[in-house]
Amino acid sequence: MPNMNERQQEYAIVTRALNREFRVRLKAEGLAASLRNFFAPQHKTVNAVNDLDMQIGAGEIVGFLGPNGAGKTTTLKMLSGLLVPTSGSIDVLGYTPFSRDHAFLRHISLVMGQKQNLWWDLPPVETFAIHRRIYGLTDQQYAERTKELIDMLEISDCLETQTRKLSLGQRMRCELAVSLLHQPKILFLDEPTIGLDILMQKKIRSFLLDYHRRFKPTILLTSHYMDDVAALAQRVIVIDRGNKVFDGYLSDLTHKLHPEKIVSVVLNNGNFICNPEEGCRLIHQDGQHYRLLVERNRVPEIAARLYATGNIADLTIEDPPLEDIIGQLFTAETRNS
Amino acid sequence: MQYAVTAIYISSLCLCAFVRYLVFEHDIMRQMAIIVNLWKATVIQAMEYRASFVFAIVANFFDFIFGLLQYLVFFTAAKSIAGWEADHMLVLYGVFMLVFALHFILLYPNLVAMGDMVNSGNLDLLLTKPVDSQLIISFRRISLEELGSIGTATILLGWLLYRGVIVFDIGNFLLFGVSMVSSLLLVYCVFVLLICLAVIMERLDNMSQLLWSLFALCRYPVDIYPDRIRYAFMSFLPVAFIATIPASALLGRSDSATVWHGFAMAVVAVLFCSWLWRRAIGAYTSAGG
Repeated sequence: MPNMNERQQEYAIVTRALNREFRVRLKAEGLAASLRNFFAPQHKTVNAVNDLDMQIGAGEIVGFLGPNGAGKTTTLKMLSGLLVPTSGSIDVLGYTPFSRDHAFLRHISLVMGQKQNLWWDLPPVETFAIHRRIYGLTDQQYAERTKELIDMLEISDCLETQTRKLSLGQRMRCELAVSLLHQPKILFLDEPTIGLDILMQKKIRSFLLDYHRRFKPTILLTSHYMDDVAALAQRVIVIDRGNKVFDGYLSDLTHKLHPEKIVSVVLNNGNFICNPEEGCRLIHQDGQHYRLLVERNRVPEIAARLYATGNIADLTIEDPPLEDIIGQLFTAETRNS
Repeated sequence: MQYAVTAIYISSLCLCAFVRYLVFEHDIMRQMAIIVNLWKATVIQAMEYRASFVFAIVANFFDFIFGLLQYLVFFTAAKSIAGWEADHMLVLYGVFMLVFALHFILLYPNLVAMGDMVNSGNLDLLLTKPVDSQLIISFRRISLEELGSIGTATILLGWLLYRGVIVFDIGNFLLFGVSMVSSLLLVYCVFVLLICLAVIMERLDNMSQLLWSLFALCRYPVDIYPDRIRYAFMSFLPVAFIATIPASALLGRSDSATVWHGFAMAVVAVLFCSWLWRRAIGAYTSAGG
């Protein structure tokens, strides 16, 4: 392990003014444009990541959010040493990732929902054996870790079936097991639940939480499923067009962008009058079922008024869906403001 | 003679430096253990499709026989071609098939897989592993389909030795060994050049076609070509060192200076390719994201 100063002990990942540019080839529609482009190609430079500063503490779980093309995966690839930054500095566990020091690579794992480590025509257990050799695990380490991961992920029944014959959910769980055999200190998860059904998404989330509780790796997660982020990460970093637009607690982001809560109420009979001047707005009504948007500080007052009618069949109070909140971050209006 | 001694000296220095680099800085024994494990997995995978596996071995055996017949047809019309008689040509064919089969077993499946790995982005996962990426990408898969060709080529060369076409001579056999190592290293370097191109250009279809074109040139002795082309094949486009020089060494027709010249070229080419691979990976842009 290279010299680790105090800052590095405190933070597992530190980036300073991180930039990554790509040279993209332009091509207009049609055969003539293709021919022109063949002999005189035109390019433009795209800033995938722009002056990104971030610090992630050891053992933290951070959600990395942004729309498609925001620069999330590019950042993960720079942090895992796959891409060399155009400028800026990266420090991961005291290493410079793109120098691809083997000691650094032993401490990280990159799981990509759309790419796989498992050999397609072989049972997962064969890939396990290869990874055991790659990370130089002893017999005892290998036996203990495989047993633990197999139990946690409930994959004992699919280890000896060819990968191509496994369901997507089984494959993803085996993929996670392979990626965690060497107990990485840093886990980069890029869309780990993509394409999975809700039940399997929940299983994966619950496994990740359990794994984090036991081994405390630093986890950086990107996902388009906001439930993943809400379940796993307290802190989120939001980037848009390569720029960091938010870094903080998920609850702060919710309060900042959506200062209201949703109150759903079902009345036995009668009406409920919602007054905007009291910080309450009716957003939907279906018979006796009302959906109200209520300012956070007025929620207790409105709820008390509803209970006082003695006429309530059901009442729930919830935050607006995270998808809506994040979506709001990327609307033209928000971007301009 | 002085030239040969200098070539041996420089080659030995380069080789020592390279071996030291592999053993001490690249943990070569661990990398080899990983490769053996990957090979086991490839063999198990090949066995999954038994019929295809057996058919490929039979097809390659017949390919060898048809290649042999092609040579014999030439000599129904002429006694010798550019100083190479029919028996000598059989030695060349045996040596060529050995090199070709070894390339097919060790490198070809990796060349085919490389294009897919770059296009699909699966190269990303391999590059985040603590392994020597060049070595693992070069040798992670093997194809046993050409094992039959190695056997048949060895039998052919053994028969030619028995018939006295190849004379048993330690010096010649030593030069043959050195020139075979050079030949395999040079083929490997062409392979590395192609995979580097695939990484840098993000897509390079039909890479194997290029390597096969090179082999098509190696099938015949370079003596059949005009002087200028022959010079090119002995220098910057080392076609002569793939099959002609090893076959000549086995027949006692090659001088040691030429053999060591080829070896020095091969060592320099390997060092250059190792540097080029590091540059290519530095320039890798990865698919998507």
